[in-house]
Order: sequence, then C-alpha cells, then structure tokens
Amino acid sequence: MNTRDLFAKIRGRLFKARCRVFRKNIIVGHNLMIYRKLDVRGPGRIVIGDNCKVYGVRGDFHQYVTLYTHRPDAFIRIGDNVNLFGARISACFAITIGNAALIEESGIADSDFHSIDRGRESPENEVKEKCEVVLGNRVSIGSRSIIMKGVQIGDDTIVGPGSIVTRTLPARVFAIGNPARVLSRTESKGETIIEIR
Amino acid sequence: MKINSKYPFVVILSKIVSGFFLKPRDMATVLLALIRGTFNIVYFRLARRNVRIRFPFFVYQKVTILGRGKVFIDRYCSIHPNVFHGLCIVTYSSWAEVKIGKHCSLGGLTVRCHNKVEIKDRVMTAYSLVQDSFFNHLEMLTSKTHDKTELNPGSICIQDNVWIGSHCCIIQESFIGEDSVIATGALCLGTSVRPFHLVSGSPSIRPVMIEKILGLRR
Repeated sequence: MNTRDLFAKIRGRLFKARCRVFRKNIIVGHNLMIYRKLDVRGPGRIVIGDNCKVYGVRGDFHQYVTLYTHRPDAFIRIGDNVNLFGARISACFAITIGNAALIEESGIADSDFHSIDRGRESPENEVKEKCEVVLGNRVSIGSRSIIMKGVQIGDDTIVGPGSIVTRTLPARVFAIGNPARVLSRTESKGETIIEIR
Repeated sequence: MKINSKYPFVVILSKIVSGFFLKPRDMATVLLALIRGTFNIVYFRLARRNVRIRFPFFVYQKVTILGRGKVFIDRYCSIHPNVFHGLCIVTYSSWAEVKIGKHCSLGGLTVRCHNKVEIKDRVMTAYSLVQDSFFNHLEMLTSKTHDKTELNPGSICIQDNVWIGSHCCIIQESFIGEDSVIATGALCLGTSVRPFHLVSGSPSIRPVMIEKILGLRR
C-alpha cells in the first residue's frame, strides 16, 4: 500500500477515536480515509458511512472538506463509499448523501441563512420538510457547483461543473447551468448542439 | 510607449527607465515581480523537467504547477492577483499538455488538464476555471446510466486575444476563436465559438457577434 494511503488510514482512525471520546454526536463508519483536513463543527448529529474518502482540491491548498451543523437537531448523513473532494456541507435541518457519490469542490447548503428583509435575520418559513437536501445513490457533482436548499437529486444523476442547482432533479439525468437545467445532447459532425429540455 | 525589440533585455530596460521617471514605486513592484518570476523559472527548470517557462515572467501572485504533464509558458506572461488567486495548473496524466502563449495576463486562472489545453497569445483571464473534462476523477464515477465516452476529456483551444471573464468555466472540448469575449459567469460546455463573438449564459448558447453589439451603440 502507498504511504499516502497508509497515512490517510491512520488519520481516519485517529479521527474516529477522537469522535468517540470527545464528540459523541459524530458516528464514523469503518475505513474512513482522510487525505486532507476534515473539519467538523457544530452541535448537530453526523453519520459517516463505511469506506469514505476525504480529499482536498488538487492545486488549491486552502480548500478542505467541511461538515458544519448549525442547530442541535441538524443531521448530516453520508453514505458508504463516498468520495469528497473538498466539498463544503452546511446543514441547518438535514442533508443526506447516498452511497457511492462523488462530490467535487462544491457547496451544499440547507438554508438561506439570512432573510431578504432589511434586518437580514434568520429566514422565516424554513421548515425541515421544505429545506432538506437529499442526494441519491451514485450521484456525481462537478467542480464549483452549489446545491441550494430543498433540492432532491435522484440516483445516478450527473451535475456538471459550475452549475447552481435550485430545483429537484430526477434520476438518471445530466444537468448543468445556472440555474441547473436538464440537458439532452445531440452531436452532429463536430459541432455540438445542445438542446435544453 | 511600447518598444518591440528582438532582445528582451532592451524591452525590460525601456520599461524600467520609463517607470523610473513616471512612478518609481510601481517600477519597484515590476522589478520584484520579474525577480520572483525568475526564481520560478529556475525552480521549475531544476526541480521539474516537464515545466518550461520562458523569460521574462512577471509574477505578482503565487504560481502553482502540479502533475507530471508537460507545461509550457511563453514569454512576457504576467500573473496578477485576481480574487486572491494566482495561476494554478494541475495536470492529471503524464501525456497531458498545457501550452500558454506570449503576453498573456493570467489572473486567478485554474487549469486542470487531462488531455490538452492550449492558450494562445495575448489572452486575458480572470478568476476562472479551464477544465478538460467534466470530472477530475473520472475513474471514481459510479453513475451507471451515462455513456462514459461522453464524459471523456477533450481538448481545449483558446485562440489569440481572447478575454475570459470572471467566474466562468470552460469545460471539455471547447474551441474559442480569436478576439472573442467570454462574459462573466459563463459556462462553455463543448461549444466552438467563432472569432469575435461574445459568449454568455450558463450553459452558453448562441454566441453574439460583437460587431452587432458595437453597431447598436452607434
């Protein structure tokens, strides 16, 4: 095994032991491998599945994976075999990520955090049923994308780089853009024509 | 006052002399950038044989070049800070090739290359992402529905005098013609842009001829 992998395994085991002693609200599964810093803050509950890998962004040394919870009843659930490449996850209510997902350098947020009123206080009308984020199994999220509150992404969906997902996406589609729209591509003789469904 | 000369020393000397008379403090920053650039050139020449940068190279913000692929940066390029970022080039395979032309002003540009990225002369960039493929780690993609050949890395070619706006992403198999402008926040996904067109939108469709826009002003 690589020395890098070995160090990652050791770091994962240390993180798991630290959580078991000091932070009982974080439950970590088997074989977590941490290649770059994993930052976990907040009073909420976090459950990480088996065989997860935590990487940073190659080339940018300031980006790492952050899992923040802002309320005691917030909940982040990360499935098995998930690869996180510098993902920034911030939960007020509930964020669920399915098994075998691939999340690259993007932000997932559960809430608007501020209201559009002049006072910019906590937004009203934010309820768990409306705001929770659910990512299905085998979902792939490209670089520099943002997933907003209330979004449910179906299984096997691919979200392209630079996209901002504001609405629920069905399963087995390809979505990209700001706002993210489902795309169907037809290629003809070197010039790509993109139709937007 | 531009002096086009074959010898870089004459050009640099003219810049220094004019700066000394007009703004001595700016001249100091230019000199410092040149020295920093020279350090970068020497470091990459010695430590990494696959990276070749030609003198002179003006570095105002940090340059990061990682990976085993070939990187070539031509003369007179300058790296100004843009959203606190300098240049970042990451090659993910040993056959990857990144070529950057002369007189480029590379701000917070991030290049992630799997196959081939070619940027020609006099290109101005801002905090943007030029990425050769949809996902940097394609082998970890587990989604079963999509034909993976569609997601294979392509090659990106950006021609002379292009202006790449801020917060935009140029992804997979794009060809951007001469003198074009890519608007802020645009997403170029496998588009080929003809010369002197304006690209905007996310994803970008229907590039607009700049002549028409200039015609509207009059």
